[in-house]
Amino acid sequence: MNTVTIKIDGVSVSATEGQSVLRAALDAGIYIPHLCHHPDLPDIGACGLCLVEYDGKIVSSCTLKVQEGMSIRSKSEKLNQRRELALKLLLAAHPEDCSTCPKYGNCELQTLMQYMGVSPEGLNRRLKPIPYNDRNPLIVHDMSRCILCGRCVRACQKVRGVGAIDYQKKDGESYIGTPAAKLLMDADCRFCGACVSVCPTGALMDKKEPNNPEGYAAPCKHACPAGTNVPEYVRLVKEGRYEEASCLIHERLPIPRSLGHVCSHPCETACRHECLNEAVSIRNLKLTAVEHDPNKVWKTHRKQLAETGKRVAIVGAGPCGLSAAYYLRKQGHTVTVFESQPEAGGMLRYGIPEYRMPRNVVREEIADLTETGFEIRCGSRITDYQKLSSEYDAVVVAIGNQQGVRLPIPGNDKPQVYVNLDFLRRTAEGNPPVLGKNVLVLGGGNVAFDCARTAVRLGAETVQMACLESEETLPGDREELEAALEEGIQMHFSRSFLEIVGAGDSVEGVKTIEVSSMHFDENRKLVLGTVPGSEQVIPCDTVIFAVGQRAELAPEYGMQIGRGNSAVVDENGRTSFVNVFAAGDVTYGTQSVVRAVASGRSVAESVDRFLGGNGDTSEKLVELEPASQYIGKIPGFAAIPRVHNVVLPAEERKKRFMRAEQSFTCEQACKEAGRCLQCQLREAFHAPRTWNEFEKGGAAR
Amino acid sequence: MKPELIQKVLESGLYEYGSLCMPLSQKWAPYLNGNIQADKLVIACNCSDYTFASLPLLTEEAQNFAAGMMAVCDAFGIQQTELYWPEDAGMIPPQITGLKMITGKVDVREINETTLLHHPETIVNIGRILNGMQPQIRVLVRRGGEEKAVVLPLEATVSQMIDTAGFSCEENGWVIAGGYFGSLFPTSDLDRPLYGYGNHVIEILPEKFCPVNFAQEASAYACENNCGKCTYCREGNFQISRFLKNAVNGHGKEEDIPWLHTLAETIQEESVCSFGRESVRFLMQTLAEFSKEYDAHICGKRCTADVCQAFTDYAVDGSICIGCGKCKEVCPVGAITEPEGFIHRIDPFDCIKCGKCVEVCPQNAILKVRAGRLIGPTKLTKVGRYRTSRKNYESE
Repeated sequence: MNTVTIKIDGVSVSATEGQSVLRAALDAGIYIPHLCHHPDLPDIGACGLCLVEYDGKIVSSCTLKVQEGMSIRSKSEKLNQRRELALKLLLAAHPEDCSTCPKYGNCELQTLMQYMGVSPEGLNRRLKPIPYNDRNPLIVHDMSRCILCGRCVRACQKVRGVGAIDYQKKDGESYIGTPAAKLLMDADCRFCGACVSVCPTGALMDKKEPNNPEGYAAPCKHACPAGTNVPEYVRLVKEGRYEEASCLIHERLPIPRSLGHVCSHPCETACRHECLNEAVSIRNLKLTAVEHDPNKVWKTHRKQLAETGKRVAIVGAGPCGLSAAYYLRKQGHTVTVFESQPEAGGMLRYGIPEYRMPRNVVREEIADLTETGFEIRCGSRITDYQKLSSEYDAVVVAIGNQQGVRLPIPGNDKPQVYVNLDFLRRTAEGNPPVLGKNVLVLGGGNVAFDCARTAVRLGAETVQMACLESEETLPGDREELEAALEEGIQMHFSRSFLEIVGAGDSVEGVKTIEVSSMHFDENRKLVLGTVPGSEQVIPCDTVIFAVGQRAELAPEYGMQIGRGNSAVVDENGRTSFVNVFAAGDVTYGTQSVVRAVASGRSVAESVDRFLGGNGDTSEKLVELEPASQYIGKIPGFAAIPRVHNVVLPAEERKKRFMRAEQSFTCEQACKEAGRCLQCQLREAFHAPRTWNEFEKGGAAR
Repeated sequence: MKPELIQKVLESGLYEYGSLCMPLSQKWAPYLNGNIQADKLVIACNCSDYTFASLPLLTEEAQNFAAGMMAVCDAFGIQQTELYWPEDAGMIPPQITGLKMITGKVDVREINETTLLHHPETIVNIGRILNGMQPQIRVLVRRGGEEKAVVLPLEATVSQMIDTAGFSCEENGWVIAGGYFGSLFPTSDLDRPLYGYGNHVIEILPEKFCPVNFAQEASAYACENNCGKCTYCREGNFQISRFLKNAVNGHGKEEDIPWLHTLAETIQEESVCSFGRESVRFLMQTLAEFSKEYDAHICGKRCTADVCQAFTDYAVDGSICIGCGKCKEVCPVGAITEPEGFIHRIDPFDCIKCGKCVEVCPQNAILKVRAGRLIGPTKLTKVGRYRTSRKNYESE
């Protein structure tokens, strides 16, 4: 690109060939009032504000291309009059009261009004007869505030290539909207939000909905504890670029394949598509990417810093411990992981049942991690962390919550009463406890479902579940509930447990009472309201407690222990011992695998800093071009339904511990990834600069 | 196209249709001297052409149209040709191979400099010239509710067109050439060609006509039909139409007049397309030449031509009313209530100024008076008991 020199009000300004005079002026720090111009959109010279004098004529500077040696005047009495008239005309057709507008303080029209100090006095004011429209998901239209700058139309048509909105005319009033005032959904809108991003006034606003957060473009990325770049890898999956997608995923997740099976997918919960019909099936798309990555190029790109000679011990080879070990190893430290069980994997290996978490996936992923050169010592149980810390430069306690909670009710110690984690662990070891014919699981979380569905597979004749929560407030995933019901598990909602009844050691049933209300008080203590006289015995011969779990921390070794037997840590994850850190469930209570992975990485950064490193574990595994802003038109886009995996019928599932779901095929993945709204594209829009950001030159005034 | 054919078109002095008419030699210059390579030919009615008077030519002279189109494509090496066909044209578009049909009006802002934009009539005329014929102009002549289309040579004068259409003008009357975007001429000044004035519509007006009222109609048309993109044309024309509506309804304010001048001038100079620039042509002309009329409407609250009904009421001359009740019978809103034998009076609040009573009155006793002026007896009066000269009440 050649550089040309032009003169603006006598000041020489260098500009790039092909640039508009307005852009050249703004880049040079000379402010010319403008409204319909936006740095990311083609210019049309519509608003009549950016006028300048050139060659004896008054012209729009946004559509005037720079030419070598041209001389521009941006200030004169006549220009002022013209600009003020344009603004007055706009204001005469704009609601008078700014203070009730949600855009108050962020409105470009308002800043221009302040800058030029004009009011539409003498002109005929009107309120445009266009009703407030919140019938669409995600986007609210208040077109009586619209000043027809046309930015949204250019964003929708020219930048995105969608063309859902355009200039329309009704009863002599111009407005911007869909043809024949259709719903956005019926106008093939792709709900990318570009129109909202470029709107200078309060005419187009993001709708306040639970799944439409303010402040960041892509809620999925924001919701992921590990900060996975969800929208980008979804795009890569859509384009069939699985290897690059896998690299991108591995930048933030060390064990994405395992997570592809069992992640609690906060990304999907946050997905904006939920406002249209259903969230994008992000977890399945991640699994598709990593399953179709035979060459594992990401491994060759991963960083490995030089040896530091520092030694770190990590207790627990679950998702958190492995994540910490992996990132600390890559920072150059010598890492040893101590695992009490005979095999690594933690909950992935001994907690989550095999029909959800295939064991070979866990083994393969752990092998990928240990390739970096850290040791896992299985079968070595550590409880004295202080002693360990004297032998290593740093210790990370990532032992999770391994102790199931046995509720303090009469009969809780009978032989046929089991606790969730013991039951699941023994099953995972291939040594399941002997169950009766009729099993009752107490609890409503995902672990409770794991227990109940495992009991089904172990051959119990009837399996029932009882929980405090109602069907609507059930803590377990909806998919789990549906699968459980399909497998014939009977649910008892809103029941509190009073007693395990039965003569002697035998179990004959659990006495329950109906729950009318439940909440947690200010001390996070559960407050239950029950219905008097609603006691009922649910008959069963085996009971499994699945009402939570806690850490196995021994108080006698002096480490400070907090609520629910958790390890007390500071903001860096450090415990009361100077070189002992803790992370994962043991610090914050039972949560998800993905949060454990994120916590492990975060503690690795703290430990690295503690050991003299910079604490930066980030890595670039793939170089990507920026995503295209052009997404094109897809008829009926917003109504395309979510793709569901093929699942074995319930009768088949009940017989074995094999995985019941099939991964997406490439076609399914492409179709599903195509549903993504690509919210992150909005990040690429620049905020237009207003007059108060300029030192030089107010052209008007 | 062979150079001599281009030469033939250029020598004919053919003008592009419309307000911004310029000789084709001028319009084509940057393409002919190689500064710009045209890649598309767009054939469309321009924005001021709202009657589509020349579209029938496309079927009537299909051969000339096709020849003109081919010739332009050949001359400039254009592969792509589009014809915009207005939705409300009321005709079926012609089918021509290689011509892409687009329903709707052209958006001139989407036309960049590598696109050659021509009006259909211009293309027909290029074809005529190449086929050895004279270029022609198709014109709609209107008077009152009547309308007639005539086809004449390009250089025919406005008066010839009116004659050919079989209409006549009043001696001191007026003619608007070019419709809402046109110009106003006295009937004594019609020996001029039509091209260059808005569209090809000639409107013959009676001696008494109201320029303010026509300017108001034109601004309402501009409001209805602008594309809505640029501020000056969209909002400016809205403001003009509001000011003029107030003026003809008797709600004008003195300070509106400078606004009208400022708005018209700015729209003409700053609008992005010719629609905006031409939309205020009639207003600009009449503000300059008929400023008294604007003053009369806005400050004096009267309409010299008696066109603007806000300034007139119907009233019965009590001195000649015979109380026959005929007006009472035809009044659609019951504004007359007096029994037979009593002098009839029209309630100005109920009256809708339809004029039916004037037509049926055997005595010609009903007349137009300045609004608000009382006439006739103030209370129920027997026929013959009221005497005043009607001269006092005739509107000025």
